[in-house]
Amino acid sequence: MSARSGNRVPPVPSPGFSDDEIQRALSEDRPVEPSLGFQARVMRRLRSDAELPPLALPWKRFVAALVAAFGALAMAATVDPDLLQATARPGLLFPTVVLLVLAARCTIRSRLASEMAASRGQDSTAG
Amino acid sequence: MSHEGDRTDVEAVLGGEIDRFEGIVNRWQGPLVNLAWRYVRDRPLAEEMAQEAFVHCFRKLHQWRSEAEFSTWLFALALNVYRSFLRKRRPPTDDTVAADSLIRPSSTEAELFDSERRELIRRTVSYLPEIYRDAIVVYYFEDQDLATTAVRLGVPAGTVKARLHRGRELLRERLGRRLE
Repeated sequence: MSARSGNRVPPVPSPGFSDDEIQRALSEDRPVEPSLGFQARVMRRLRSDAELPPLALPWKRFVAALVAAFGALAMAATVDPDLLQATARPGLLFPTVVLLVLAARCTIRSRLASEMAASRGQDSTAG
Repeated sequence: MSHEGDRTDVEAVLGGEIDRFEGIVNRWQGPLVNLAWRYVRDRPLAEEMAQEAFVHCFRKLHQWRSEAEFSTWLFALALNVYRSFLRKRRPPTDDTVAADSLIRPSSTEAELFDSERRELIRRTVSYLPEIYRDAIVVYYFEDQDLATTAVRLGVPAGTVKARLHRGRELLRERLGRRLE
């Protein structure tokens, strides 16, 4: 043995990993403690989420859309009076109402979702 | 863990007493941070993941059915949060830095070298495909309790066993490749 080899790292028994070594490493993993402020941080975040103002229904837009829909219907009735009668027939009335309600629901939901995303974005930027 | 404490706290929170959620955080912060830690081995990141899990828990608290164990519901929810967190934040494809330190150890102490090897094994688990990674992480987190792991993952115990076996095989292969 040379003097130089005395300062070197002890030889590695085997570069590979045995099942035993893997098993030991995984089972002897020490748990970590959450940091002191963790609980307070979580509660702060929850309170700020809960304090977000409730999202108001966009009534102005809703009324405007309703007026526009009635306007379009009235215009269609003046152009072709039979159209209104055809729409009012029992067979067509229900599907028409359902379609209108679904369209309104989709519009309102997407609008609410985007407003909610915007308000959360503002909140996280402020935080 | 206090099951009755969870139940009364959940009822209080649902009744509008947000502060009572603190009891739930207090009881479960250790397990949730630790589970996340086993996935990422980075404390700030693990706490971020656990915080996200608590926020999801708070928002979905009304979905918990009191006939079920609160812990089962909470862990299922946390695992989903962690999985989607990890999918968004892809791990680096190569962490050979750790492997290099094994090939040319900087310390003369064999003990330190051993601890580096153990840490490399634990870190490499994160690079396994999701189903094997989850099986290994949860199984060892649950003190090698196969039945609890199966409940946590929502799969039969036989499936967990098979995934553990294959997962450890893959782990050994990957570790071997890193040292080549």
